[in-house]
Amino acid sequence: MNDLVIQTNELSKRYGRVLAVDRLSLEVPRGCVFGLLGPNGSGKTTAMGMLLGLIRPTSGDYELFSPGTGQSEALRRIGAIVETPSFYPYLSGRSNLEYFQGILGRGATGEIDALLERVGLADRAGDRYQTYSLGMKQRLGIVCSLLGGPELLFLDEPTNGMDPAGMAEVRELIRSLGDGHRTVLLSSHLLHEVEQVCDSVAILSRGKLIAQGAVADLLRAGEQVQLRTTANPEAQQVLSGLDWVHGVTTGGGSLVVSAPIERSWELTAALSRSEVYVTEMWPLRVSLEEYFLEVTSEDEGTTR
Amino acid sequence: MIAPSLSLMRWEWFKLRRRWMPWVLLAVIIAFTQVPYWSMFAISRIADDLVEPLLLPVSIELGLKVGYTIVLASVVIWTASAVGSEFGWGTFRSVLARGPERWRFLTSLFLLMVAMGAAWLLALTVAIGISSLIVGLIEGGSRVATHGEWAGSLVQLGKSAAALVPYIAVAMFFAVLTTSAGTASAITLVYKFLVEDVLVPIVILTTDRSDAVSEYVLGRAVKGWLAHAGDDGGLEGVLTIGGSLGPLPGNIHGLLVMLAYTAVLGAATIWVFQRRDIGGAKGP
Repeated sequence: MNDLVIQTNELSKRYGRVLAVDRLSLEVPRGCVFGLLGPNGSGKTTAMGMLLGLIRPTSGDYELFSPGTGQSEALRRIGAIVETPSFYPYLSGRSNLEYFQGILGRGATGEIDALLERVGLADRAGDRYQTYSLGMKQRLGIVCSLLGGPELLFLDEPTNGMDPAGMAEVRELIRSLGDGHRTVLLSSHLLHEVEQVCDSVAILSRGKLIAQGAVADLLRAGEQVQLRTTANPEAQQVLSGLDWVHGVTTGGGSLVVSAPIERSWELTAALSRSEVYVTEMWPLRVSLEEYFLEVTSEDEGTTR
Repeated sequence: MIAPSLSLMRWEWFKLRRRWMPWVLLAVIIAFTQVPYWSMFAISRIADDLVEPLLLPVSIELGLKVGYTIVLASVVIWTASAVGSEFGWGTFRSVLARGPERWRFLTSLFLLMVAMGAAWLLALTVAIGISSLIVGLIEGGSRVATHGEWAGSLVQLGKSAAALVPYIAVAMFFAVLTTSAGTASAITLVYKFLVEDVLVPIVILTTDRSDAVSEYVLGRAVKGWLAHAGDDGGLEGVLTIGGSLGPLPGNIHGLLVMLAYTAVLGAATIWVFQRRDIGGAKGP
C-alpha cells in the first residue's frame, strides 16, 4: 500500500433501497490531515463506520495501515469520534477516560490529566458526563480518541456544538495533530474548516466519491481569469482555441477564462499575437466552498 | 486469550459497579429472603417445630430455594440492562472502535454477569447465615450439624449459581437481538415465568407423548438439576392440580440440557452481534 494509511476498494453499503455508500475508492496518505467532505447524508459517517468495523460493507474491501493488518490490531492504532461522542452518562469524564484507557490496555500514567488540560476540560473532569454541554462532550471525545497515542485519528464533525473560540482551538489542535507521522481523517460539512485544516480532501455526494486530491490542486483546477479586451468576440475565439483553456464565457463586458492563474501571461501573449489587447485583467480564485458547490451541483445534474 | 478477557471483565466491573441498579437489586434480593425468614421465625414462636428449618445449615438451603427465583429475575433484568444500555447510549460504538473483538467483549460481559449472579446468591446466603445465628442465640438451643449437611448447602449454592447461567444466556441473546434492555427483560421474564412455569406444564398435562419433549425444556431441566440427589425429583414433579407432570429429569440430564441451551444461545448471540451494524445513541 506504499505510503497510504487507508485504501478502500469499491466499498459500498446498502440499506434496503438506499445506497448509502456507492463503490468508494479512497486513498489516504500517511501523515496528513485528510478531509472527508459532503453534505448531510452523503455517506461520510457510514464510510467511517465501515472503516472502523462498526458497519458491515455490502461489497468491496479496505486496508488499514498495510496489507494483512487485522481489524482488531488496526483499531488499537486508531482513535475515533463518530458523530456525537458516546460515553457512560453516570460516570464522570475522568472515569470514562479511565475505562477507555483500560480496555485499550495502553496509556501512560498522567496521560489523561495532560490531555484534559490540553482541551480545557480539567476543571470539569470529575463531573458526570450527563451534565456536560455538547461542546464539552466533543472535547471529551477528542481526549478519548487521543488516548494511547493513535497513529490514525477519525474525527467526525469534531467541532459540532462548539462556540467559535472552541472551534478555533480545536482546529488548531487538529492541525497540530496532523504534523509528523499521525494521520487525521476529518469529516465535516464546514467547508471553511476543512479548507483551513486539511492537506487533502475527498468530496462525497450521495454516497459517491466525486473528487479527491490535495486541496491546493483541486482549487487550482477551479481557477479563472477575468479580463477586458479591445475586442471581446475575437478574444473569445482566440482563447477558446488554446487547448489548456477549459472554457471562456462572456458577461458584463468582460471574459471569464477557466485557466490556471500562473499562465495568465500566455493569455495576453496569445491575444496580442492576434492584435487583440488586454485593457484589464484580474484573477478569480475559488474557495473550497465554491469548488464544492460546483462539483456537487454537477453531480446532481448528472444524476438527475 | 484469557488475559485480555480477564482484563475486559475487570474494566466492565469498574464501569458497572458504579451503576445503582446492581446495588438496588441486591437490596431487593436480601429483603425478599429476609422478610419470609423473619416471618417464619415469628410464626415459630407459636409452633416450636418450625424453628429447626431456620437454623444453620438447613436454613441456607431454605434461603436458596426461596431466593433463587428473585436472583434469577434480578440477573435477567441486570443482564438485559447491561447489554441494552450499551445500545441505547451508543457506547458499543465507542468501545468497539477501540479494538476489542465483539465476541470477546460479549463473553467478558457474560462471565461478569455469571459472577455477579453467583455473588448475589452468596450475599443472600451470608445474610441468611447471619439471621440464623441470631435466631440460634435467641432460641438458646444448639443444633449439631453434620459435615454432610454443610456440604449439601454448599453444593446447593453452587448448583443454584450454575442454574442462573442459561437464563443469563437467554437475556443476553434477546438484548443483542432487540437492542433494548426493556424488551429483552420482558421477553426473558415472560419466557421463564409464563411459558416455562405455566404454559409448558399445561401443554404437558393436556397432550399425549409430551413427556419426552418436556425433558428438554429448560425450566424442567433446571428443576431437575436443582432437585436433591436423593429425592430423584419425584416430589417436585407432581402437580397436584390436574394430574402428574411426571418425574423431573435427573441431575446429569438437567446439567446437559442447561449446557446445551447456554452453548446454543451463546453461539447465536455472538453470531447476531458479529453481523449487527453498530450505531450511535438511540436518543432519550
